[in-house]
Amino acid sequence: MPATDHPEEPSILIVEDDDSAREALSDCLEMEGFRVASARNGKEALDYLHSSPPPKIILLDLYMPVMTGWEFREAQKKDAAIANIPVVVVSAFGSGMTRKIDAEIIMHKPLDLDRLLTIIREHC
Amino acid sequence: MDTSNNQAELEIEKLELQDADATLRNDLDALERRWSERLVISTPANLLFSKSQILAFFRAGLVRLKSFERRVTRVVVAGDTAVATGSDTVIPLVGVDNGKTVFCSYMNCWNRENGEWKLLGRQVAVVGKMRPDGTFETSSG
Repeated sequence: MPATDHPEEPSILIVEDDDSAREALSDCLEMEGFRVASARNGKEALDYLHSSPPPKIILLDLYMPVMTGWEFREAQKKDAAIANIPVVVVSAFGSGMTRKIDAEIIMHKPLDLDRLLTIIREHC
Repeated sequence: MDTSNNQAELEIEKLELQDADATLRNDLDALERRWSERLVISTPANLLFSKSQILAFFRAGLVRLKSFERRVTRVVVAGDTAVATGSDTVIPLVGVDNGKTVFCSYMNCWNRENGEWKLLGRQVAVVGKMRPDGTFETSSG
Protein backbone atom coordinates (compact mmCIF):
# COMPACT_ATOMS: atom_id res chain seq x y z
CA MET A 1 0.00 0.00 0.00
CA PRO A 2 1.40 3.41 -0.80
CA ALA A 3 1.99 5.44 2.31
CA THR A 4 4.07 8.34 3.46
CA ASP A 5 7.59 7.93 4.80
CA HIS A 6 6.90 10.18 7.76
CA PRO A 7 7.71 8.55 11.07
CA GLU A 8 4.80 10.37 12.71
CA GLU A 9 1.27 9.05 12.48
CA PRO A 10 -0.65 10.31 9.45
CA SER A 11 -3.61 12.52 10.26
CA ILE A 12 -5.21 12.22 6.81
CA LEU A 13 -6.01 9.11 4.79
CA ILE A 14 -6.53 9.64 1.05
CA VAL A 15 -8.46 6.89 -0.71
CA GLU A 16 -8.13 7.42 -4.45
CA ASP A 17 -7.35 5.00 -7.27
CA ASP A 18 -5.87 7.51 -9.72
CA ASP A 19 -2.12 7.60 -9.08
CA SER A 20 -1.65 11.16 -10.33
CA ALA A 21 -4.61 12.52 -8.38
CA ARG A 22 -3.57 10.71 -5.21
CA GLU A 23 0.01 11.91 -5.44
CA ALA A 24 -0.93 15.50 -6.27
CA LEU A 25 -3.38 15.74 -3.39
CA SER A 26 -0.91 14.12 -1.02
CA ASP A 27 1.83 16.54 -2.11
CA CYS A 28 -0.48 19.50 -1.57
CA LEU A 29 -1.46 18.42 1.92
CA GLU A 30 2.11 17.59 2.92
CA MET A 31 3.22 21.01 1.71
CA GLU A 32 0.60 22.42 4.07
CA GLY A 33 2.22 20.50 6.93
CA PHE A 34 -0.11 17.52 7.23
CA ARG A 35 1.00 13.91 7.51
CA VAL A 36 -0.73 11.80 4.89
CA ALA A 37 -1.32 8.12 4.22
CA SER A 38 -2.95 6.84 1.08
CA ALA A 39 -4.81 3.86 -0.27
CA ARG A 40 -5.76 2.93 -3.81
CA ASN A 41 -9.22 1.56 -3.05
CA GLY A 42 -11.65 0.89 -0.23
CA LYS A 43 -10.12 -2.46 0.69
CA GLU A 44 -6.63 -1.00 1.04
CA ALA A 45 -8.15 1.75 3.16
CA LEU A 46 -9.86 -0.76 5.48
CA ASP A 47 -6.64 -2.77 5.75
CA TYR A 48 -4.78 0.40 6.65
CA LEU A 49 -7.36 1.44 9.25
CA HIS A 50 -7.27 -2.01 10.87
CA SER A 51 -3.50 -1.98 11.20
CA SER A 52 -2.63 1.66 11.93
CA PRO A 53 -3.61 4.39 14.37
CA PRO A 54 -6.76 6.11 13.12
CA PRO A 55 -6.37 9.24 11.00
CA LYS A 56 -8.35 12.32 11.93
CA ILE A 57 -10.10 12.47 8.58
CA ILE A 58 -10.58 10.35 5.45
CA LEU A 59 -10.76 11.81 1.93
CA LEU A 60 -12.72 9.28 -0.11
CA ASP A 61 -13.10 8.89 -3.85
CA LEU A 62 -16.19 6.94 -4.91
CA TYR A 63 -15.54 5.12 -8.15
CA MET A 64 -12.61 2.79 -7.51
CA PRO A 65 -11.72 -0.80 -8.42
CA VAL A 66 -11.71 -3.67 -5.88
CA MET A 67 -13.86 -1.78 -3.35
CA THR A 68 -15.74 1.40 -4.17
CA GLY A 69 -16.19 4.38 -1.89
CA TRP A 70 -19.83 3.40 -1.24
CA GLU A 71 -18.77 -0.13 -0.20
CA PHE A 72 -15.98 1.25 1.96
CA ARG A 73 -18.34 3.60 3.75
CA GLU A 74 -20.83 0.81 4.49
CA ALA A 75 -18.04 -1.37 5.91
CA GLN A 76 -16.62 1.54 7.90
CA LYS A 77 -19.96 2.35 9.51
CA LYS A 78 -20.38 -1.28 10.62
CA ASP A 79 -17.00 -1.32 12.37
CA ALA A 80 -17.21 0.50 15.70
CA ALA A 81 -13.44 0.93 15.87
CA ILE A 82 -13.34 3.15 12.78
CA ALA A 83 -16.96 4.22 12.30
CA ASN A 84 -16.51 7.67 13.80
CA ILE A 85 -13.64 8.85 11.62
CA PRO A 86 -15.05 11.73 9.58
CA VAL A 87 -15.25 11.16 5.84
CA VAL A 88 -15.08 13.77 3.12
CA VAL A 89 -16.29 12.35 -0.17
CA VAL A 90 -14.44 13.73 -3.17
CA SER A 91 -16.20 12.92 -6.42
CA ALA A 92 -17.01 14.11 -9.91
CA PHE A 93 -20.44 12.45 -9.68
CA GLY A 94 -23.60 14.51 -9.51
CA SER A 95 -25.92 14.56 -6.52
CA GLY A 96 -27.87 11.52 -7.79
CA MET A 97 -24.86 9.34 -7.05
CA THR A 98 -23.29 11.16 -4.11
CA ARG A 99 -26.47 11.36 -2.02
CA LYS A 100 -26.42 7.56 -1.79
CA ILE A 101 -23.44 7.79 0.52
CA ASP A 102 -23.66 8.85 4.14
CA ALA A 103 -20.70 11.19 4.64
CA GLU A 104 -19.97 14.33 6.63
CA ILE A 105 -19.10 16.41 3.60
CA ILE A 106 -19.30 15.91 -0.14
CA MET A 107 -16.94 17.88 -2.34
CA HIS A 108 -17.07 17.91 -6.11
CA LYS A 109 -14.16 17.70 -8.51
CA PRO A 110 -12.29 19.73 -9.56
CA LEU A 111 -11.45 20.10 -5.92
CA ASP A 112 -11.18 23.55 -4.38
CA LEU A 113 -8.01 23.16 -2.31
CA ASP A 114 -8.65 26.21 -0.17
CA ARG A 115 -12.06 24.91 0.86
CA LEU A 116 -10.68 21.43 1.48
CA LEU A 117 -7.89 22.84 3.66
CA THR A 118 -10.44 24.76 5.71
CA ILE A 119 -12.39 21.55 6.31
CA ILE A 120 -9.27 19.57 7.14
CA ARG A 121 -8.04 22.19 9.60
CA GLU A 122 -11.34 21.90 11.44
CA HIS A 123 -10.59 18.21 12.06
CA CYS A 124 -6.79 18.04 12.35
CA MET B 1 -11.24 39.54 -38.62
CA ASP B 2 -10.09 43.09 -37.93
CA THR B 3 -6.41 43.95 -37.76
CA SER B 4 -6.32 44.76 -34.04
CA ASN B 5 -7.91 41.42 -33.22
CA ASN B 6 -5.47 39.66 -35.50
CA GLN B 7 -2.56 41.35 -33.73
CA ALA B 8 -3.96 40.39 -30.34
CA GLU B 9 -4.37 36.79 -31.43
CA LEU B 10 -0.77 36.68 -32.59
CA GLU B 11 0.29 38.22 -29.27
CA ILE B 12 -1.62 35.59 -27.32
CA GLU B 13 -0.13 32.81 -29.43
CA LYS B 14 3.33 34.19 -28.69
CA LEU B 15 2.53 34.39 -24.97
CA GLU B 16 1.25 30.82 -25.02
CA LEU B 17 4.56 29.57 -26.42
CA GLN B 18 6.56 31.74 -23.99
CA ASP B 19 4.51 30.35 -21.11
CA ALA B 20 5.33 26.79 -22.17
CA ASP B 21 9.01 27.68 -22.52
CA ALA B 22 9.10 29.34 -19.10
CA THR B 23 7.43 26.29 -17.58
CA LEU B 24 10.01 23.98 -19.13
CA ARG B 25 12.88 26.16 -17.90
CA ASN B 26 11.33 26.60 -14.44
CA ASP B 27 11.54 30.34 -15.01
CA LEU B 28 9.34 31.33 -12.10
CA ASP B 29 9.98 35.05 -12.55
CA ALA B 30 8.54 34.89 -16.06
CA LEU B 31 5.58 32.79 -14.95
CA GLU B 32 4.89 35.09 -12.02
CA ARG B 33 4.90 38.12 -14.36
CA ARG B 34 2.59 36.51 -16.89
CA TRP B 35 0.10 35.00 -14.47
CA SER B 36 -2.76 36.97 -12.97
CA GLU B 37 -2.91 37.13 -9.19
CA ARG B 38 -6.38 35.58 -9.57
CA LEU B 39 -5.16 32.66 -11.70
CA VAL B 40 -7.12 29.41 -11.39
CA ILE B 41 -5.66 26.19 -12.80
CA SER B 42 -7.80 23.08 -13.07
CA THR B 43 -5.31 20.23 -13.30
CA PRO B 44 -5.67 16.70 -14.71
CA ALA B 45 -5.62 15.54 -11.08
CA ASN B 46 -8.91 17.40 -10.62
CA LEU B 47 -7.39 19.89 -8.22
CA LEU B 48 -7.91 23.62 -8.46
CA PHE B 49 -4.70 25.54 -7.90
CA SER B 50 -4.21 29.22 -7.23
CA LYS B 51 -1.17 31.10 -8.48
CA SER B 52 0.60 30.85 -5.12
CA GLN B 53 -0.18 27.14 -4.81
CA ILE B 54 1.17 26.21 -8.23
CA LEU B 55 4.27 28.37 -7.74
CA ALA B 56 4.84 26.61 -4.41
CA PHE B 57 4.73 23.31 -6.30
CA PHE B 58 7.42 24.59 -8.67
CA ARG B 59 9.56 25.86 -5.80
CA ALA B 60 9.26 22.52 -3.98
CA GLY B 61 10.62 20.76 -7.08
CA LEU B 62 7.36 18.92 -7.69
CA VAL B 63 7.09 20.26 -11.26
CA ARG B 64 10.14 19.46 -13.36
CA LEU B 65 9.95 18.67 -17.04
CA LYS B 66 12.38 17.10 -19.47
CA SER B 67 10.46 18.43 -22.44
CA PHE B 68 7.37 20.51 -23.15
CA GLU B 69 5.97 20.84 -26.63
CA ARG B 70 2.94 23.10 -27.07
CA ARG B 71 0.80 23.37 -30.18
CA VAL B 72 -1.72 26.19 -30.18
CA THR B 73 -4.78 25.19 -32.18
CA ARG B 74 -7.00 28.24 -31.81
CA VAL B 75 -6.97 31.71 -30.30
CA VAL B 76 -10.08 33.86 -29.96
CA VAL B 77 -9.90 37.43 -28.66
CA ALA B 78 -12.96 39.40 -27.52
CA GLY B 79 -12.07 42.75 -26.04
CA ASP B 80 -9.89 42.23 -22.99
CA THR B 81 -10.53 38.50 -22.89
CA ALA B 82 -8.81 35.81 -24.92
CA VAL B 83 -9.18 32.06 -25.08
CA ALA B 84 -6.50 29.76 -26.43
CA THR B 85 -6.76 26.03 -27.01
CA GLY B 86 -4.13 23.50 -27.90
CA SER B 87 -2.19 20.43 -26.95
CA ASP B 88 0.73 20.03 -24.58
CA THR B 89 3.10 17.09 -24.78
CA VAL B 90 5.32 16.85 -21.73
CA ILE B 91 7.82 14.43 -20.20
CA PRO B 92 7.94 14.93 -16.42
CA LEU B 93 11.12 14.28 -14.47
CA VAL B 94 9.35 13.75 -11.13
CA GLY B 95 6.25 12.06 -9.78
CA VAL B 96 4.22 9.08 -10.92
CA ASP B 97 4.60 10.08 -14.58
CA ASN B 98 8.37 10.46 -14.40
CA GLY B 99 9.82 9.54 -17.80
CA LYS B 100 6.46 9.03 -19.48
CA THR B 101 5.27 11.11 -22.40
CA VAL B 102 2.03 12.74 -21.28
CA PHE B 103 -0.34 14.04 -23.94
CA CYS B 104 -2.75 16.77 -22.83
CA SER B 105 -5.35 19.03 -24.32
CA TYR B 106 -5.87 22.40 -22.71
CA MET B 107 -7.77 25.65 -22.70
CA ASN B 108 -6.21 28.84 -21.39
CA CYS B 109 -8.03 32.07 -20.61
CA TRP B 110 -6.15 35.36 -20.80
CA ASN B 111 -7.30 38.67 -19.43
CA ARG B 112 -5.89 42.12 -20.26
CA GLU B 113 -5.05 43.76 -16.93
CA ASN B 114 -3.81 47.35 -17.10
CA GLY B 115 -2.91 46.87 -20.76
CA GLU B 116 -0.99 43.63 -20.20
CA TRP B 117 -2.21 40.14 -21.01
CA LYS B 118 -2.21 37.86 -17.96
CA LEU B 119 -3.11 34.19 -17.74
CA LEU B 120 -6.32 34.04 -15.70
CA GLY B 121 -7.51 30.47 -16.16
CA ARG B 122 -6.18 27.14 -17.35
CA GLN B 123 -7.91 23.76 -17.75
CA VAL B 124 -5.79 20.73 -18.62
CA ALA B 125 -6.94 17.20 -19.43
CA VAL B 126 -4.72 14.18 -19.99
CA VAL B 127 -5.51 12.45 -23.27
CA GLY B 128 -2.99 9.63 -22.95
CA LYS B 129 0.32 8.54 -21.48
CA MET B 130 3.13 6.68 -23.22
CA ARG B 131 5.70 4.73 -21.24
CA PRO B 132 9.40 5.01 -22.14
CA ASP B 133 9.12 1.64 -23.97
CA GLY B 134 6.53 3.15 -26.31
CA THR B 135 3.46 1.37 -24.94
CA PHE B 136 0.43 3.39 -23.93
CA GLU B 137 -0.66 3.37 -20.33
CA THR B 138 -4.02 5.08 -20.52
CA SER B 139 -6.02 6.75 -23.18
CA SER B 140 -9.29 8.53 -22.92
CA GLY B 141 -9.28 10.31 -26.19
